Amino acid sequence: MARLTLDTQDDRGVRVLAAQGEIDMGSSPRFLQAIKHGLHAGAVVVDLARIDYIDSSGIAVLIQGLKEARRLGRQFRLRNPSSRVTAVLELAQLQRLFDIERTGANVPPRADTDPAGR
Amino acid sequence: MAVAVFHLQVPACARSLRVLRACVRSALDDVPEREASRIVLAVDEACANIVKHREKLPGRNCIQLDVERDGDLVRFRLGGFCAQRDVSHIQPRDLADVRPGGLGTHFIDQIMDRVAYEPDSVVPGHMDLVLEKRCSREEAE
Repeated sequence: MARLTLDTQDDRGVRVLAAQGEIDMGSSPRFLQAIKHGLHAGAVVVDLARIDYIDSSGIAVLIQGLKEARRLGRQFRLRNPSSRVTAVLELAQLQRLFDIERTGANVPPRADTDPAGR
Repeated sequence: MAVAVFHLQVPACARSLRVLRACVRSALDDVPEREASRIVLAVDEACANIVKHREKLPGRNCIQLDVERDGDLVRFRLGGFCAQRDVSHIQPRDLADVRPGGLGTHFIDQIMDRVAYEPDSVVPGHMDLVLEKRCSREEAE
């Protein structure tokens, strides 16, 4: 299992924050800081395709990011959440709260993830 | 008959959580992936609560986790989880109230079949958290 790595790319005023690894109470403060930093510059898209694990602190960061975006009048979207992220969002009954985009093209096949969620 | 799978004692800090998750997952290697992932999340949330609130219990500087299997039942016991006086304050939050915080207890309640607080056998006034789940099993090939 991997620690959290964050890769940022700016594209025409949109910051794409690609997260990879695990988001837990140890890594979520850095995740929040990266989202808030991006929102002060413009719109933020958080790519969650390569997240292996997320806990309630990670979900809390996404809620805080959404609230910060609304406060600043910015767009805040989630991109391609992995099956594990989707499962936790559903458990929290928050999947409809977020603007979620599924591009498909950027989702690499993963040997340890069953698309059916089994 | 219940069979002890492992006993683990690690420092009560965020860095320990990855180790705990890996150990819990290893104890569920015959449980379907989706179900195992949910159980790992529930135990991890309970351990994270110990880390978050460790200052409330004097002398608590570690997480003690015991795992037992009894047929299709898996039982997790977190020693010295909280003070007896704090049990009534541990509540899942209303999900309609969209805010950070309080989700962990909701996850635990949703995922596990039984969530109970039992007196700590070592420290008077402290309570263990016991989590139980009946698991389906993957058929061996």
